[in-house]
Amino acid sequence: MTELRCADVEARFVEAFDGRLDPAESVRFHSHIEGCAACRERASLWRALTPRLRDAVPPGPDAMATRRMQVEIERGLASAVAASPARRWRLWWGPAFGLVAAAAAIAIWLRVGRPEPAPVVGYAAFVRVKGDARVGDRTSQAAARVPIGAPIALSAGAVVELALDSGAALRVEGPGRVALDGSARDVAVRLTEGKLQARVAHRQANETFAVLTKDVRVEVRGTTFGVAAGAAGSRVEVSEGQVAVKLASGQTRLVSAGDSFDSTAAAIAPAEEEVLEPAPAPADTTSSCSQIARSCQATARAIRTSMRAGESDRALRMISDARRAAHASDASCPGGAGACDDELRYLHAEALNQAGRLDDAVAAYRALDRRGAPSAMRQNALYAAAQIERRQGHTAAAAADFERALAAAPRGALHEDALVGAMDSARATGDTARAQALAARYLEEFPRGLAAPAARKLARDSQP
Amino acid sequence: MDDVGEMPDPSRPPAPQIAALVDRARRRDPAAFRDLFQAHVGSVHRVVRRMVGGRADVDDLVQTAFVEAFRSLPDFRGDALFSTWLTRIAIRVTMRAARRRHATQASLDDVLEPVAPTAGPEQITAARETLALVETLLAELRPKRRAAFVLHVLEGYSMEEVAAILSASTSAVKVRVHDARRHIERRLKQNPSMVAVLNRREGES
Repeated sequence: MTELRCADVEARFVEAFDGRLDPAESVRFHSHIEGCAACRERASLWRALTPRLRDAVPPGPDAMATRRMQVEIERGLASAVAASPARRWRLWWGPAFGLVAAAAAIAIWLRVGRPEPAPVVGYAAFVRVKGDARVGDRTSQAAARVPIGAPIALSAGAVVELALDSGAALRVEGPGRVALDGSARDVAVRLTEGKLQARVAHRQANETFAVLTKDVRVEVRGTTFGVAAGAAGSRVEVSEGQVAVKLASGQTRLVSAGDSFDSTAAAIAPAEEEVLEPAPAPADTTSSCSQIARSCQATARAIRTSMRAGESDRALRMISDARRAAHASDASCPGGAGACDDELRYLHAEALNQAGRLDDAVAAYRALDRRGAPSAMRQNALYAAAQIERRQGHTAAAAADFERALAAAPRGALHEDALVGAMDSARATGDTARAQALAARYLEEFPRGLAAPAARKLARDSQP
Repeated sequence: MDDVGEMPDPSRPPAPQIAALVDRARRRDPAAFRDLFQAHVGSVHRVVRRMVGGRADVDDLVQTAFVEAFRSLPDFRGDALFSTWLTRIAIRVTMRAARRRHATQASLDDVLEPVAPTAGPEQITAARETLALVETLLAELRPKRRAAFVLHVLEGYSMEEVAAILSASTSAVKVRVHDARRHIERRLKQNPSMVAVLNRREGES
């Protein structure tokens, strides 16, 4: 037997052991093995060894780690800025109210070019840019996509108009700062400063559209409204439909067409969470922003490493240092550091959880929701809070948090788990009607899910 | 369907469904990204973990691989399986990270250091011991050999698929797998205790 043929036989070990050789090859393989003691010995060794090596499977990522990776991936995709042809859409700018002087339809845009596969960037594109408007360090241009989470800074007099892939339209007037967070289905427009006008239409039942300022969250379904955010507070005006304005205190105000809401006039209870510095004063975006974001990401990684090693006290110390540092630099870097701040707050909650400070952890998780962190993160945080509550026997609180986790990101990674949690908790609190409604929803969305048998039983019990 | 090379993954949707998801992802449907991520995160994580051992930045590498893959989706031609293509990117990311670490730290320890179990000693079960041994053996291999061995022997990709993933010739891959096997054979011969650990039958890993 030549060396070459032994090598060929060795190259077929895996296929042979996995039963993937075709019959002719199998005959040749085995006839060589029978005649070659060296190959026979090695084949026998590797036949035994291969499954042992394969069975030594490293632990996979848990749900939280998976969720975290997903958030990071969405963030990573958002940081790519790439121009792409505008999609097929048609947009009307309807008449606005007080905030914007324009009284009639502004423009109709028609499709430019055929849609082509392009790198995924955000869920919106610039339609018109007037004056000095920058995305991060770059000047924004019409037809460019808007990366998720990227801060858009407008100088005084600048105006940008954005078209969302869903058909919604935004107009922002400078001086101002705004960023599009969330996803196409869970739009979260973060308005740090400036005047924004939105026209939202044709949203599906499971989609959300929210505008967040530092003190209010405006939730929308099919309407036209405007928000102005300044140092003193926020003002919301509605010209069509209705919006829900949620305050940091947890209170909700409904504002209908023709009405307005002013957060400076409303008595806003202070947030329960520890109060950090107020939003930074408007400043020019500097080139050091990406540097700050990078260093913040590196810190976040180091913190996660400590947590994995079980050193939650060390992690908590690092988080408090990092947050102090982030706030010192925040003033010169709008938006960018904010995303990392959410991450640090999330890690803070996780570290508290790990350290066994469960009440503090629950409060920190809930605070993330209230401050309008990205929807995926809010879902993750509320789900974690609910799990703690459930373990501690606080069934009603767990039910409420599961429900909020469910609402936070209707298509999020923990959607199914949150639905099951809400269903179980509702049953545990004796709210049979709610439990059955959730069971029906579960069966509709996950007819073959893990909890389907339990949901079916719940639904059946409702029959007389 | 040329999918013989891969270990079946019961949690993953069938190939036509994946192809449909890839199509939607090309049109930048965020839900499709999410579903593709969910369907593949387990296998990508496993490959990366086998490549770099129990180091802390496995999740970061997995993330980077997905971001690179999703960004370069327009380059993905349907003639390979999406999972194979994704694996190619994940391997590239881990190799690049290893090179960078090598250059900046000039310490072999980080690359060769076997897994330090992160849990307390009471949790080091027999399965963990086996895993630590396997990861030690893998860590001893040179990166290119390790990649060829992990993909072909452990993940079950064919030599041709491994060649495509690693951008190498099939004959080069065969040599790398051969060298890796020889190294492991040598180590086991020197250390009968390793064989004992590997042969111990345990319920679960």
